[in-house]
Amino acid sequence: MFNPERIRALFDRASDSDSERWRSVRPNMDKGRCTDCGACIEACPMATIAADGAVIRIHYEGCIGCGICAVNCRIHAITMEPSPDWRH
Amino acid sequence: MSYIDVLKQTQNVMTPGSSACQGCGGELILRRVMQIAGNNSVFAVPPGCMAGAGVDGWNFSNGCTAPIHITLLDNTASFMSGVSEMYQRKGRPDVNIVAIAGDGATADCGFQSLSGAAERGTKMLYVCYDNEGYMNTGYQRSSTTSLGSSTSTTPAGAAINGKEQQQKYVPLIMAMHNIEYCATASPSNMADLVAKIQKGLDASKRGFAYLHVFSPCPTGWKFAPDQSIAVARKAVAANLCPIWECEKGVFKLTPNRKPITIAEFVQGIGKFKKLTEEEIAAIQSLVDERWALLEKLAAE
Ligand SMILES: Cc1ncc(C[n+]2csc(CCOP(=O)(O)OP(=O)(O)O)c2C)c(N)n1
Ligand code: SF4
Ligand code: SF4
Ligand code: SF4
Ligand SMILES: [Mg+2]
Repeated sequence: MFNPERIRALFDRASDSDSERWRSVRPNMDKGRCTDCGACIEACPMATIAADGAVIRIHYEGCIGCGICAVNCRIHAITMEPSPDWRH
Repeated sequence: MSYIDVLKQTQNVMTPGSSACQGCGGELILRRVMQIAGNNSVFAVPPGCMAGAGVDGWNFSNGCTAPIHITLLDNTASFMSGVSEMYQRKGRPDVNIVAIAGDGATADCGFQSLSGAAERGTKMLYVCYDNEGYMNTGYQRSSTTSLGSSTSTTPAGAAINGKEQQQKYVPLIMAMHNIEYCATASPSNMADLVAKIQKGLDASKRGFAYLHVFSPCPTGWKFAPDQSIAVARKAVAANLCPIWECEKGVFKLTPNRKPITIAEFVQGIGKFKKLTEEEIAAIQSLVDERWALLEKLAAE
């Protein structure tokens, strides 16, 4: 059955998200260099990069560490780093 | 509004996280279509990698905020014809009727029902994410798989050297159904993809709209997940995925300003590792002839 409450809850499960545990690397967006151009928003297959007002941020709960954002940022403001939450 | 603003301002309809592979082009396309169509929509996603990834909600860890049906591999368009008809009769033409299906569900198994719905002019948007194979069941070849691709049913080896046939070009077949709107797109050209999703939704209020989107699959095609967009970009440059649209019979072809060869395109993609010179030449002439035909159609 379609249960809107249950689905909405899935959007707020940052702390126990599966992807936090199994991604070995995660992107680090250097806000000192990032120009908030938004190009990484369009490239992220998980749609987990979003605009917080004018500021672009990565929401880690949906990130699976694919690295597409890092490859597609023209000024290389994103680097992939070992994920602190990786439980292997 | 710029396409980035559209993406910034629309909500994710599919829940975060999913069990699609890293770098999946299909998921990128699925999420974009869903967020632009929004919650005032009824979706259908038949069996395939995207249903497998959980968008239909069957695994209880994923789902979406709009009503969604997991149709059969072969009846998505006819199923949604009924849904569309019901919404029209109830006086709810505002509801977007949207199917998002793989190439197997579109070009092979579901082709009869797709052709029927297109010919009837059913009010809906049908999006095919074409990863050139039956990925969810372990990469069997489909009719859209490129010549020479090593798949689990056409493994490159002593007996054969990958798929023996050229791919079937579905978007032109769909355009020949005289539908309201027919277009091709690629996740590497996001402004174009967003505009075409919007146009397709608009056309779905008047009749049948079809969008065929190139969908790189790092797992099946064997390339690094972070290269998905780059592979899509090269497919467009190599004319394997020419970008065009057809509105009520009027073709518009997006110029290819920096063409590359098929030999350049296949570099680094594992499924093409054993391609022979002859096969590369054969794919090259296929895409050259396709481009020449599209130029003629767009010139008229
Ligand atoms: C009639 C029928 N045959 C076979 C299957 C098994 N099956 C489930 S998903 C799938 C692959 C579908 O391929 P495609 O539509 O290209 O989507 P993809 O997996 O590539 O995303 C198959 C063969 C099925 N569900 N129904
Ligand atoms: S693409 Fe690069 S510069 Fe642009 S918003 Fe993303 S991280 Fe910042
Ligand atoms: S690593 Fe992949 S999933 Fe994570 S933010 Fe970047 S593009 Fe999105
Ligand atoms: S097998 Fe390919 S299409 Fe399927 S989820 Fe993985 S990357 Fe996506
Ligand atoms: Mg497929």
